[in-house]
Amino acid sequence: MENTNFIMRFLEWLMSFDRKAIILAASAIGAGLAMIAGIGPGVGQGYAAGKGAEAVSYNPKSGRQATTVMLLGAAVAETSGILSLVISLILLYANPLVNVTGAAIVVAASAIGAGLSMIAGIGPGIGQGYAAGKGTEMVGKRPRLQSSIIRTMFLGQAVAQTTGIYAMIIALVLMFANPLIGLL
Amino acid sequence: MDSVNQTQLKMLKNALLLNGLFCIIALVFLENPITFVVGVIFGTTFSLLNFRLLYLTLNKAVHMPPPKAQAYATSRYLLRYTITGIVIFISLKADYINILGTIAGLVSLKLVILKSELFNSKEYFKNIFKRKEER
Repeated sequence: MENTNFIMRFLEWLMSFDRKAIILAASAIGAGLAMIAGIGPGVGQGYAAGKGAEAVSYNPKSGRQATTVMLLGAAVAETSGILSLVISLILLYANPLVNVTGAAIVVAASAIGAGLSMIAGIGPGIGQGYAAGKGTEMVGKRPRLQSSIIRTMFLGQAVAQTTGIYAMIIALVLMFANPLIGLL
Repeated sequence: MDSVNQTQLKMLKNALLLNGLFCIIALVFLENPITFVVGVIFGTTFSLLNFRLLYLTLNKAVHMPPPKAQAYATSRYLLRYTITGIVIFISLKADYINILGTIAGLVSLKLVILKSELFNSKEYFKNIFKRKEER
């Protein structure tokens, strides 16, 4: 029976490695997972650029205004990508978990968890890009309302960023002030 | 000067002001402020160049058919993302650059955009909480 319990066998196999090696391997997985968040701003900015092209083709006179809105909106949409990049590079080059004492499996899981939490960055990236695209589209249609549209767009983008910041806080807590290690 | 360039200039001035403030705070409160200031300068310089690159990309993208513009903007984003990665990597590796300063410099432009375009009208926020009849 024991031989067929693959999870136990896997965990036993995992524990046969050196403690530091397990944490470093988990950090590598975490760093890779964090980078998945880079998809969000890419899709969002692409959407905004597509909408910008549409807006300019409908109304070429409002092209400069549409570009201004798109530029500012796309710049804000990039934020979650930068945050995930920071977490990923910290896991790779300034890993604080290597020197943490406590059960190796908890520390390793924390490294993976820190990377996993940053995947949430996809949401704000796509959402902010969507808002930038819609803002650009509407400025193209109604250039006179630029200031109101821009303000509403940024209000939406600022709110959309919140979940990305929450994700980063959880990642930082898991790396620098992990409460789980103290519970053992 | 057209509106897009004016906006860029405004963002540049405000970003420099905000980062100047970061540097002053660092000089007053930190034990080793020079590394932080170097980080802020490094991050801000890259952030402004990144913003300019974004403008050049989008300026080109708006003259393309929408599907092509999407693909072009996304591919350019990946290029900028890679450069951002290199900047953060250098700050993590170099002892004379504080990573927190670099991150502050990188994110400051987004704060400046939100401050100058969102939090610039009290009336807008008052109207949100007013009833329709009061407006």
